[in-house]
Amino acid sequence: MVVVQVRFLFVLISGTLFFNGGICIDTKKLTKFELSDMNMTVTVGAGYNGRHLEDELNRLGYTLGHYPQSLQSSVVGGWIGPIAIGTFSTKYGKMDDILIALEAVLPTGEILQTTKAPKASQGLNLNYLFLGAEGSTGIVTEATLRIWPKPETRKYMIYTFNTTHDGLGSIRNIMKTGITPAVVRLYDEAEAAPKIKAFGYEDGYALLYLGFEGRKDLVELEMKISDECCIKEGGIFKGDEPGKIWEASRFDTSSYLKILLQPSGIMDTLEVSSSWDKLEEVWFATRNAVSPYAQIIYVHFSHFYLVGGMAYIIFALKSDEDMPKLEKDYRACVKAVLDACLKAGGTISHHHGTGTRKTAWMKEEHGVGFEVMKKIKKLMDPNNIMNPPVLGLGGDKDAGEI
Amino acid sequence: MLEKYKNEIDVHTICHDQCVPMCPIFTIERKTTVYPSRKAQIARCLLTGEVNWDEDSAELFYHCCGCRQCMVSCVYIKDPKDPIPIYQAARYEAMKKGVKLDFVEGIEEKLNKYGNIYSDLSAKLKSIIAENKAVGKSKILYLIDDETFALNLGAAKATVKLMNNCGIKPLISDMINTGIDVKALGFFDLAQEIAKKMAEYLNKQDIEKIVVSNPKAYYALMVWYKELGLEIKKEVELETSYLYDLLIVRQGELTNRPNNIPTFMMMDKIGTYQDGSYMARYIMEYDKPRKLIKPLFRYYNEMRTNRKYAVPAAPANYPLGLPKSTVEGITKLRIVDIQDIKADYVITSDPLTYDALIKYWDKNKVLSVSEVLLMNYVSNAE
Repeated sequence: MVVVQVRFLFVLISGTLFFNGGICIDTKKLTKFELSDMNMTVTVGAGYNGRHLEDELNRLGYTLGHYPQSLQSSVVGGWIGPIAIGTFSTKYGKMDDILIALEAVLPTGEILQTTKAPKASQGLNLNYLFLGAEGSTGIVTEATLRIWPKPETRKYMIYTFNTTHDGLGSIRNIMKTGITPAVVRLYDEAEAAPKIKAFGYEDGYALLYLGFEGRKDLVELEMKISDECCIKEGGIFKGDEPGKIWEASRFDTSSYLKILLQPSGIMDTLEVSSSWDKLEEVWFATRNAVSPYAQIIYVHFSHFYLVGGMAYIIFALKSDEDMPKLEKDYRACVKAVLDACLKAGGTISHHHGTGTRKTAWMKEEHGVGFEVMKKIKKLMDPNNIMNPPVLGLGGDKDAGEI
Repeated sequence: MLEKYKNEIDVHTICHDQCVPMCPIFTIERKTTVYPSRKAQIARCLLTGEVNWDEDSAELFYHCCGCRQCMVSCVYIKDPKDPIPIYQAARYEAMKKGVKLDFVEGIEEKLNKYGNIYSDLSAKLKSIIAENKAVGKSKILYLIDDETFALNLGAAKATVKLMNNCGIKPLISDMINTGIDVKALGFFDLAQEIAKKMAEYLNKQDIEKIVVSNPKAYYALMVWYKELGLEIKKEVELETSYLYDLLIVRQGELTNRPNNIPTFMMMDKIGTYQDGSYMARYIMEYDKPRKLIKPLFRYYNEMRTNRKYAVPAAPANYPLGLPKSTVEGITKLRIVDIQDIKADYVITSDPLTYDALIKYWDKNKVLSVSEVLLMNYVSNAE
């Protein structure tokens, strides 16, 4: 039996590990491109590079609107595996919103093509056998994705708020109106501090970036409504300059190198989400859970829905001591954050996926649902050859060192 | 030699492949090993002994077109370093370890036989000397490099004709190889020897200025020679820049032109300029060629990517080791951009770009800067 891994996710928070001497399938030569301007879809090979795809769509007058920070290095199949998301998601959606249909090779050799209808009512939506499955149920070879006309304009509005609570309130107000800014990024007071200082804004305030794009008249209307929502919660308008700077440097994570390149430095990110009623508590609990371990803690909220949002926790541990101690602290830190998140009512991953590191929390998060997932996995992959350890579905014995 | 780049190799591998989409070779070949961060990882494995020097590992380092797109488009490092010297060092190291690929041996034979990597270019040199007909002499030496001779003799001829038309008879350089392509292939010792001879030759000429036909040769003289400690004791000017001052075709200065300066026709066509990699990312000269050619076209359009970020239409260096399909694929990708703007003519300063576009696009629609100037030159302006 050969264990198969699919190499299609090249992201900063992931990579490819071999388990039990398995093989790795590289999908990057799957580069079909078929645009349907009538249906507003593009059907692409799973190995199509993210930047290449967006450039080609732009050339033809369209956009996918999907800009993960890994855009340069990730491919379409890799976006489906963990249900990836981009920084303009509040308008364009997460990969489960963007994906219309897919083609996949099953572990048993059959080729599955899911329906390309916009919506359907003829049984289970089989896209979800692969969305979030992280390659454990088959190899996605092709995907049909929703596209949009290339926007006429892109605008930013920046606000400061006395507290993170006020900022979240304003975003909730915006979402309730039914409009969808493309970019919504709220930096909590701590993460905002360096930016607040650089721009000379109110010390100790939280910072909100709103980005809008599409037709000019619609954008103007969305900006007007959003402004009202922010002012209502005490937001102070700051123009658009920080937004433009963010846009120009949004793929640049070079500042993390200072920590990553240190002999005793570990940096990581966790992204958790919850409904509106628990979001602030999840933020509060996870931030405090990191505190005993990490020297740097940044938390921002960057993906929002009518029903809730996501908190993104960036943390860095530095130590003058040896690496084993640092690694132990790092693992303890991750555990503390995920335990706190579940306790506060959040989910352990919003878009990075579970991989092997977060499998220990799957049962607690899903309960009976985890057993259902295991049964699906066993049915689809009876020989347990596809990414056995991820999600904890293929058994711990194959997981290597987690 | 490779050991010297140990720290740089680490920097090039830190980002988990952010350079993937910018690499023309990856875009065509779709191989995980070819883009810069993976090449650097393999270079590191060669240093640590995890990968052995053999034909496969050595060949990988020839899968680079030298365009520097990865460097200027790096989203991860604030002040990105050029990874190409690492590959050149690996080529050198491979040969030192006794791994010499067939195509490298072939090029070595040409170097020994002709003194350049192309062919016997002496007849072409003689023909251009014969056509250099202006009365009198000037203190200008025109350095036409081997790449220009081999791939776009017409450009050099047009330049000489334009200079002659202005009453300038340049001295044509007997030496045509700067050594920079030889260095790129990993023959470091031979390249330095050639560079030293070229510098000595140029310095002993009774001239005031050297006009260089090819941006790559200009970069060699102005940057690489300095790195080697070789000083050119004359003024060195790139041909495009020289023509810019000589002809005064640029917009905004037409009203002040002296009566004896030639005038130019305007074509009822769409023109565009393709920044070759050396112009775009080595010497970073964007404006002068545009100011020279824009007045010659009724319509002038820029391609989707241009100037610093111009997608290359050809490798920057002699594409040794690159399959024909890869070289053709690079050009065809750029042709899509040319067709998008409906260009009737593509003008370029780069011989490799010229050669690729006449092969894979349309030989009647590609011109060098000097050729398009000569084509529109009004001879009765005197």
